[in-house]
Amino acid sequence: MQPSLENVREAARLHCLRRMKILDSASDDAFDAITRAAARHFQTPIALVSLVDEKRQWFKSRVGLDVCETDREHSFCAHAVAMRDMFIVEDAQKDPRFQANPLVTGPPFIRFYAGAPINVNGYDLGTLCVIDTEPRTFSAVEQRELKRMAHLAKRQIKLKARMAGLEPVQALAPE
Amino acid sequence: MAQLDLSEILDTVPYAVFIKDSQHRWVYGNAAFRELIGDDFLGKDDRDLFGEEQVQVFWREDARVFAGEESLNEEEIGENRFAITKKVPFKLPDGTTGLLGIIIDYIATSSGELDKKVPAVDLGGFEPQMTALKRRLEEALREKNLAIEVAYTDAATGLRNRHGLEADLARQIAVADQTGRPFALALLDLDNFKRINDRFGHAAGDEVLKVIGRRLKEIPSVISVGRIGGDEFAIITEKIDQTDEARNERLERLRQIIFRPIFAGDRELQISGSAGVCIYPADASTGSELLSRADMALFSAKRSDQFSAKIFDSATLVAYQRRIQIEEKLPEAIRNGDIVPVYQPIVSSTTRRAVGVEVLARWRNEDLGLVSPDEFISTATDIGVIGKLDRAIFSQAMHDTRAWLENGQIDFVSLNASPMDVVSPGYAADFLRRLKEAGISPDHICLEILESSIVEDVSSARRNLGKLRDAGVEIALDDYGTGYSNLRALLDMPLDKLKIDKSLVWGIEKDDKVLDLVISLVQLGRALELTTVAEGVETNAQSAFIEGAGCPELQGYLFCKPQSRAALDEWFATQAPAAEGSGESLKSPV
Repeated sequence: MQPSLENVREAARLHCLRRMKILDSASDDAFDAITRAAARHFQTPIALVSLVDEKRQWFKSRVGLDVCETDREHSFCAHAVAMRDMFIVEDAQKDPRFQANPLVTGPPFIRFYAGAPINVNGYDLGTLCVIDTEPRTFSAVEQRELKRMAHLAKRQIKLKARMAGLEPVQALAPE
Repeated sequence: MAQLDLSEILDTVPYAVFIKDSQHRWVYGNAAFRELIGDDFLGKDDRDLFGEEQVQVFWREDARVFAGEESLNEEEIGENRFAITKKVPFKLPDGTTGLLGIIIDYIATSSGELDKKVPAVDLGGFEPQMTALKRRLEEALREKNLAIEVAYTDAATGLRNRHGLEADLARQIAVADQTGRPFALALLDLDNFKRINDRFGHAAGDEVLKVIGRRLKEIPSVISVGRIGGDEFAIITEKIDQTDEARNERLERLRQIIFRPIFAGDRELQISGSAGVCIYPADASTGSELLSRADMALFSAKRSDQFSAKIFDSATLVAYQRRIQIEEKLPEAIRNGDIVPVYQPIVSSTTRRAVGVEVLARWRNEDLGLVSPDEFISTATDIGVIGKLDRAIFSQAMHDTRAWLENGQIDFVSLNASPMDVVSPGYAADFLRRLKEAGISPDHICLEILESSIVEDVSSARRNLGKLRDAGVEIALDDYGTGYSNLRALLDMPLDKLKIDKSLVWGIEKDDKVLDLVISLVQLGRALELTTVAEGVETNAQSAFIEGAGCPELQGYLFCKPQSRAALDEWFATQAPAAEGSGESLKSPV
């Protein structure tokens, strides 16, 4: 069977993510500054730099969450990555896609989610996201700000890769 | 034959004839003479008609005649008007010796040229006859023109000097009044001429002046070019652009023409400067007003960092007058202690609590209102009272901040060093001595310096700053990201902190490139072990991006504006206790 374009793209995305050698790396002040700033600025209890791996999402930095990864199946961020765009759920309890999600029905009881893709060399490797346990709206200005903060995370990933002497992955799509 | 009437004869003579007594008073004049100077002359003398210098010339000549000689002399009797007068001794009825004079020729010239004779008085239609005398006159005029030329020319450059330029201005004003065509006066001033002279010698300096003069002359449509001061040039041009845009474009082209590097010997000298422009008759109505207003525009242009040109406008005048007032009031304000320190907290981006305060100066004056430090510090530097001001602010600040340091409300006090201080020998020792007197440990002091202050003399600056740093003082490079912001400065100077200029902070919300630049600066700071401080943070979004970029310290109105000690005491009291730290804005602490 011919692999679909989507599958090819996902394989390339995962390849790019692994080339960055960032998964399961130690915590890092530079990323922690970003999540801390995001949580403070958007006044949410949770902010994450989440990287979407093949079967899981792994958090490079987290504010307000104890676990360092969750499975991809229930990941909100995977939606943002799949959409390759800003992804917002204003109230997860009222959204049929997430009503039964264990992250909604159980800890950390997500109601609100906003995630902006972190795009490296044309691939959305994950998101910078802010999460609340109360439903809320997210204005156009706030969306723009979250995108710009995701840009900070992208810069940090690229910088680390460059400092580690890793070759930049060939871009499939322009950034 | 009836007796001829002598006075009738004399009145018929078409030459002015007069008699003076021994006191130079006119006691007789024929009709032609009266025509020349009016009927009411009896008993008067040359002083009623001529300037003092001219009178002296006449009377020297007169004295020779009173002594018995005859004289034939050409005399200047007004602007470009000459008379050739024959004088002979004349015995007056009372036995004293006076003189009889005949004005035998009279020439008036316009604008110093001899080609056009305009007798101011009707000399009976007689053309000047005496060609020999005329030749002598022409020579005299040529000499006079040459003398004028010399007097109006700058020896170093061959351009007009100040006199010459003023004459040209007067003439151009007359032309403009006649034709209705406006014209512009532009003053130019070189930034670093003194340094070129000091460092490379006067030959190099003269070469620079000559080359600049040549370049100015090459500008199309220039009417007159002058060097009117050491490194100050002036041009008069009739080419005036109507729109600001065209004007600015033209100024930029001018800049490119004038401020190219100059080669003197085997050296390439960098040339920069400023310009001020004033337009007749829109901005000024006399030559001296044009000059002074163009000078004001030049002055305001010079206040900015790089080449800039300013066209005179009412704002320039207001700014200039304000500056003059500041100059007048400043020394007294310093004496009276009217200029006081105020303090702006610098906060940790993680905890948002104060880690230090920057000492700034504030001056509120009854007439001037609030005078910004930008205004009075530069003035204080120019008029040489900056040292006094610095010391006054310093001792008050040390007094005010001691309690905050002792209570642990802040870790450091940040002071601004004036550019001159940083490069002056002995500054470090003096600063440390004053700290010791104030009883403040150097560990608690951060000294903010400007990049511009160290480029003057890198080695002196490095010596001073090194010494201060060895004693525990932190050194911060202020306003980084404005002007040239040389990367080399980060390596050349012993530094602990980098203050990211507010212009970058303000751009961070809008401009991706600025955001990238700020991230890079923070990373650069980390690599060089410099603490970065963002200045001028005013909005939450700015603070979020800056914090996200990893900048550890923030300063700006968002947190607290510069305040008096009492007001800042209150501000400290409102700050959340340390234990809650960064969690204050989170709904549920992690």
